[in-house]
Amino acid sequence: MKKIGIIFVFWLGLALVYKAIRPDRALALRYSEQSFNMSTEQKSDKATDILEKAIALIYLGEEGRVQSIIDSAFVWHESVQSYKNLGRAYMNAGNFPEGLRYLDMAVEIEGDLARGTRGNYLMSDMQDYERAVVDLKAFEKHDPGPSFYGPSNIQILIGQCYLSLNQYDQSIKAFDQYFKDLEIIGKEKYDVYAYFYRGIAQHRGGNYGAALADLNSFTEKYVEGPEAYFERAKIYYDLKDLDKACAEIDLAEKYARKGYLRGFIHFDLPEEVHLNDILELKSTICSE
Amino acid sequence: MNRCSFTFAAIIVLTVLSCGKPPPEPSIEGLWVGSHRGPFFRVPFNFLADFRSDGNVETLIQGVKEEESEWLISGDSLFIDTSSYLISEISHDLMVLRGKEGTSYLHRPRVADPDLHALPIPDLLEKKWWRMPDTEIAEGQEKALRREEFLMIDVDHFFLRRNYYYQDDFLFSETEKSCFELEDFRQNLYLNFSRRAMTCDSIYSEAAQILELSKERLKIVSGIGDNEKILELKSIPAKSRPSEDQLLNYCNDLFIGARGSAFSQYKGGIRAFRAYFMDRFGLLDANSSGYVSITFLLTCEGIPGRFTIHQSDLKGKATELPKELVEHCLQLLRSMPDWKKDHSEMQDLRMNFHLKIVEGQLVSLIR
Repeated sequence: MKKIGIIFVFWLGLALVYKAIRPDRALALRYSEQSFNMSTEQKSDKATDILEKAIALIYLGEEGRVQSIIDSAFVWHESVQSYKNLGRAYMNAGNFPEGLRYLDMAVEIEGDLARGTRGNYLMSDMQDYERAVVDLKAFEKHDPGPSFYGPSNIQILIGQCYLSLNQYDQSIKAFDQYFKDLEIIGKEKYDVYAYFYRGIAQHRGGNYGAALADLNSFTEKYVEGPEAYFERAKIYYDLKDLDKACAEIDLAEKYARKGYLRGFIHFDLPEEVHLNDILELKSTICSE
Repeated sequence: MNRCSFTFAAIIVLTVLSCGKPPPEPSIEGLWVGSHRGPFFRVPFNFLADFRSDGNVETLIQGVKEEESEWLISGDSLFIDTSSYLISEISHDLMVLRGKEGTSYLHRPRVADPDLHALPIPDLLEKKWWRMPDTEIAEGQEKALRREEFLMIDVDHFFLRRNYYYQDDFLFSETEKSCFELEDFRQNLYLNFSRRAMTCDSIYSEAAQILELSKERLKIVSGIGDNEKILELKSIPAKSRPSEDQLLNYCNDLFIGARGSAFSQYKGGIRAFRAYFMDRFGLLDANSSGYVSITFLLTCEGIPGRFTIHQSDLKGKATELPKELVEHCLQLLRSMPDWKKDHSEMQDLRMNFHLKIVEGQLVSLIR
């Protein structure tokens, strides 16, 4: 019995010495002890804080150490939201393989609900409209009634995808659905650019009258939006009415010069109009 | 008898051995490395000097460039211009100088291999990242800092050094721009090669001696006496290498750089930026499709650099597009002529964009 006691004390002593000379191990123990006392919310906050650093590095193009930081964060807490955040950061940084990997992981866990996120980045960062439409539709189907991804209505995003794919009928259908949904959403809150995009789809589909009607609706609500005048100028130009086309161009130029604040710094919007586009068209059709 | 004979023979052998050639007198001639901290001495912070038998001293590396001074050994003193310093002690590897203001210690260069095979200058100057081994720096009782240092040597620009710090899981970064102009650098490198020493900054406060040099390994001793420390530099594998295409003058911390607004620093904005690429891209390889994404930093002087490139196929899967194609994209970016040079913010800006290439043609520039 005495021998056993001596052996036990001997090994205990060794263990204590080992712990003392291995600060990293002691640190890990401290973390794990700490983590036992933390709520899920606290762990999640801790993970979010760490992930923010990883995401900052991804944006800066300094990805060398990112994986180890992500691993550190996931020791605390791993969630669908963190997959989405990482996916977004990687997609924006142009690391599509990694971005899609995280977005796929989110879809695997959350199902169609996460396909809105993936669809959005397929659309905006990769301009892969075909796959984006499939995801966005699945997301939309998941929850009957109007769906949103951030501030954007899903039908508008779908309409924009079809517009970029030159599938004008499908595009118009999506925008029509959006206006139908307004009955549910409430007409006081709507996106005036739905008229603009449907107007473009109508124009490119050869429905000039419907296109002008939509663009008129746009300018009624938003008088100083130069893109609608610009698009209307192109319609009148197609209709060989140069006087009207030039009048519209002048208005587009006037409002563009006044200060066109729609554009985002970080990414392009579909059919974004620049003053130089307007001036270029002006020099082509209004030179006399 | 036998025992007596043996003892006698041993005494004779020991006597003969003890009458050998006496060890040589310590000589003042040759290379000495000096270092001191503080303003008490006229000699530079760090220097490498060649003491000759005729009393002349050639200072090969001096800390204070502006102060050209005459060094001369006369009697038992070193004269630097009109100041004299007594050589109070000299051994094979230590010389002690005493002046009114204090004492300075000179050491022999610690060159391990006298026939060290040095690389030709252009090879060393070839752009290359080196990483110093991780070092643990204790700070306080709770937190341990791990420092990772990087060095880059570049023929056209600077000798630059930057540090990453990790504290627990958190990363900090700090940049040190230790650099000097090419002319001096080259000159010193020449000296370095002939005398096996190198310096790391403009006041030579971090003079170091090259112990070993090859394409993949650079071993130096930095500091003198108690501060002596051996650093082994290793080339970094491409994957973990900090993305660096060229060394630039930065306004801000290398790692910060405001994100995104740099397109506005191109004359004509994003539209002109896009048009530039579209007009010049041409058709390189009709079999190639995919995305080339470029993140870069635009310095406050309007120079793009620190490129990070991602490649993928049209489905977003990792792939390697033809090297010429990627290089062409980079070359176009590098040669963009219309960056605004002096923008009011005086900030380095980060930006990125994606090139979507279908069958060798640029179909869109996405930002």
